[in-house]
Amino acid sequence: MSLHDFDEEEHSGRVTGRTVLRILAQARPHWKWVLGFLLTVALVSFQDAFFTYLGKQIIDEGIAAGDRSALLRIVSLYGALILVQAVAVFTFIYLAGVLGERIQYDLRRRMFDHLQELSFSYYDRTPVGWLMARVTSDTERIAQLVTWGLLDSTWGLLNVFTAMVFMTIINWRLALVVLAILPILLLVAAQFQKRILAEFRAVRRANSRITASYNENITGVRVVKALAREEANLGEFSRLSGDMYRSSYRAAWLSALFLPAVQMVSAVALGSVVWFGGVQANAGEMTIGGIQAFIAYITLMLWPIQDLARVYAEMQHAVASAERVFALIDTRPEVVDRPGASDPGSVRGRVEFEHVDFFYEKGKPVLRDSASRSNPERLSRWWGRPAEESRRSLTCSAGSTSPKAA
Amino acid sequence: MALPAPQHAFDLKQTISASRLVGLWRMLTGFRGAYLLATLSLGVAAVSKTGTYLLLRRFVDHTLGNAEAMASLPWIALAFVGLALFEGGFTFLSGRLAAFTAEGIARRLRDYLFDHIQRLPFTYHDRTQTGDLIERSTSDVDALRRFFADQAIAAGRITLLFAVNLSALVMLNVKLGLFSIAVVPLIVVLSYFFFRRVSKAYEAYQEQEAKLSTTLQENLTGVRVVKAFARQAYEREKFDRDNWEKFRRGRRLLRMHAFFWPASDVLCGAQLLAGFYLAALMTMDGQITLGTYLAYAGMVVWLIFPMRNLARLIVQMSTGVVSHGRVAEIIKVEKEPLAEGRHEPVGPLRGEVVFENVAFAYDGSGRVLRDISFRCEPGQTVALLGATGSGKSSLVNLLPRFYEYTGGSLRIDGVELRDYPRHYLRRQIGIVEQEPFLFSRSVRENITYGVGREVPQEEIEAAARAAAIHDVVVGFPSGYDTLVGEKGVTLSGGQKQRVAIARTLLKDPRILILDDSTSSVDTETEAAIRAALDRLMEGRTTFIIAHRIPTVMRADLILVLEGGEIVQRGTHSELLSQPGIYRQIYQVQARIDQEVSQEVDRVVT
Repeated sequence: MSLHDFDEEEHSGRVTGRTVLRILAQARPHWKWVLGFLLTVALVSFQDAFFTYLGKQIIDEGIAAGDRSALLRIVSLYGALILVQAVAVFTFIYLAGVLGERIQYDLRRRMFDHLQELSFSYYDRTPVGWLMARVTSDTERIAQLVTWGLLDSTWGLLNVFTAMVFMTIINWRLALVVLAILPILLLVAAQFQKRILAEFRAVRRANSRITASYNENITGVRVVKALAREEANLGEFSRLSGDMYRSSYRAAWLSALFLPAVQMVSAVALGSVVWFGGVQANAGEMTIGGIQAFIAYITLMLWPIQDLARVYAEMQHAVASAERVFALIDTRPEVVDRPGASDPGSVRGRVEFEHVDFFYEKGKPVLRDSASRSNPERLSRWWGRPAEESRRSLTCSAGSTSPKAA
Repeated sequence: MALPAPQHAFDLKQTISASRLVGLWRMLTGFRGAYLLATLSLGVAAVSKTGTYLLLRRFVDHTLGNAEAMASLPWIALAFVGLALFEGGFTFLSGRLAAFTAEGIARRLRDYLFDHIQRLPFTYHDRTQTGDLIERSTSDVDALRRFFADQAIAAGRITLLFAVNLSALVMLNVKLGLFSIAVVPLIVVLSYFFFRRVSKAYEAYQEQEAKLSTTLQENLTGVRVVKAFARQAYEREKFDRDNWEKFRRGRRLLRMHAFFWPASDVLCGAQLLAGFYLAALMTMDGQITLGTYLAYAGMVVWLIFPMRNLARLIVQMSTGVVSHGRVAEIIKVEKEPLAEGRHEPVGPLRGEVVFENVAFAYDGSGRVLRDISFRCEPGQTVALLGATGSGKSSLVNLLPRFYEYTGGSLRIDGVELRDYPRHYLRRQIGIVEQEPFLFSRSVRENITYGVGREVPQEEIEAAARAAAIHDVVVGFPSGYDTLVGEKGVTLSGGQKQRVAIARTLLKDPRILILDDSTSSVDTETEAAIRAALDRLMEGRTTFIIAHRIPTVMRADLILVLEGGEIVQRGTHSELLSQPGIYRQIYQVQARIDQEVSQEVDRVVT
């Protein structure tokens, strides 16, 4: 494995079926929890759409019809549903959240236990920082995907879907108008998110360079002072902070533009609803409550659409994380006990080397045909230059690096 | 390559204030106009949003069902789009100006802190943890950035929306308007206390996460020891304990969220519904029009739900204030004045060094050096010998004015050391440390690190050859462009030291400070380093902190230190002829060397 394999490549995440299945498998032992939060979030999404529908009924069947008892009935139903929804919200936050923590716990535990088994050779070629990132941030991303990622996408798709269904029920022709604008909305949102995410990645990269720069300049402050490098270092640093400024500023104002842009597209939808709805209302084909409901539904659809690209990008990250985590879990330790090896409890300490060969890299033997015998009474010493050699022999006999045929 | 330092028009030292809010206000210097404009834009956007609802009211009351007004329908539709454009435009303007302010402040602060920290005296660095400084320069600066970019602006937005919508509602109908906000104070207070508790629980959660990371890191870096002692089971249990505790804290945090959100939803929902009911009844009674009802239903949402977020923002902003305080603590510390000094010669020093009754003590602690007197001619070598803590390092640290001597007189070329500017001195003094610090740059950049000019390749190679490192460097994958450190090659202790020697050769100082530590490398490397050091010392006044006799033997003056005082002085032969520490050390080391060579002979033959 070369050093380049350890680069933090954020976007190797092509969503492959096998990895996704394996990610989902992490949640399998807790499938009841998953089912629980998916059902409750579906209920919440449906209720959100239904609340808007009830709002329409208050206007049309209550106010416009002048029916006080109908009004009271609708308001009571509304109130009861608020309580139901509260229970549903409680359930999905608790289930998805705790499950996410639980999956993180499981994954970390499994990886840690596995890491204890891996051979020295694995640690020789793998930087500690790389391993740390796998156990900490990658497991978090996987857990997020199985819980909040799944929840967000379910909620988003359902919101759009139920809103469309209710709009069709109220007025199918007007619903078609909204449906026509939907793809534009999606396109605008996706384009924006793509650019914003790219800038945020640049910000993160700049941020880690800046942190590294602080770290180096502080730990090496003695050399900096001794060599009077202060001004040159500040010059170099301010180029880094300038990069960060540019990416960060761009990301921020793109984000600031994003919401208004999406709102503009939806305002066109609103304008169309007002226009066509107004025409229809005058012809008696549309109620005032109906127009109001359409306005509310369009707003309801906006949130998930804005969020869609973000959720998708996070899924890509999680898949990339999962690939690395699974690669670690699948690594077999190179030093394994022979089948039937037994633990004698204690040894007397007589060590014999007979024709032992050893290499780190194939074709470059480090030890060849070593033979030696040591008695428990005597501390055996290897003298050699460089001293590395003797240490290698010792680690070899401790079973940390397995002898191989050269 | 020396780059011009950016000019900071504004010294952040001026932002220091006893009042945290005043400090934050001063941080805004240079951006106040932009930030004010950002706030005003928010106001315009809020008015536009409310305008949309008022337009809806007009549309329902006057246009719908009115055949004559139908002609104006397209205009009303267009007005909706127009208002959205207005609202969107000003929202964007506000966001952009806020970003300009926040990012600008953050950048200025990052640059300032970077420069400030590298100019802080050693007395500060000695008692400050690197991790803590980095944390303050990154996380706390970011918290401050978020304060200006998101939190303050979002809090402003919510407040403005509340104010504008409430005024509009009250204008439509006073009773309805006031009734609608009955629950708002309760929501704000409850949310405030909730988010305060949550932010504590979140801190506890993050703390555990950090603890888990530390456990993991210790295990991974010490994996060889863990395996050698077969401690895997113990380590597993330890990690599992921390891991489980993190799970527990996460669950606690989630339980709080799971209770708060639906509970406050019910509170807000009940208020909303009660408002709808009252407004509907009023509409039926003819107190308000249907259009007013619709406008009300739209606007009231902006009065109630955002209040939870206002409380969250207030809690978050308080962490921004704390972060500002943590950053200000660094800014408060006085820098070393690098260029200050009465005497700055045009050319290099000669290198005559005179100590006269020099004393030194760290702030508030006992004396570290006392009554140090000796004299050293240009080009001579002084060796310092003594146990750890005897004051050897402290003594040489005085020369580049890393620390200020507290008594006596120290003169270089006849001029009191305090009168030289620090920068001048440091350019004249070269240091090769026991564990030289190299930067994660290319080998070339490391060698040229101390010279503020472009250095031709031949010169670099000449220095590297003299330091006996050229052959090693050429063997690296990309030669002199190979990166040093985690992302490139890892150098051994001896290689690092030779790079440091090359670095010092190129700098060409008149006075040298060497920390002799050839003890940790094998004999072949030791010979190479010795030869390199000899070339480096040629013609320079040299101070060697020595651990081994062979290094010391050729010095012009040997000082043996004990407890911050010179207990023996002289040349090798002089000191060997008198009883004392020097002779003892010499005898012990000679015996060890002899034993080792005997052992090798026995094993090899």
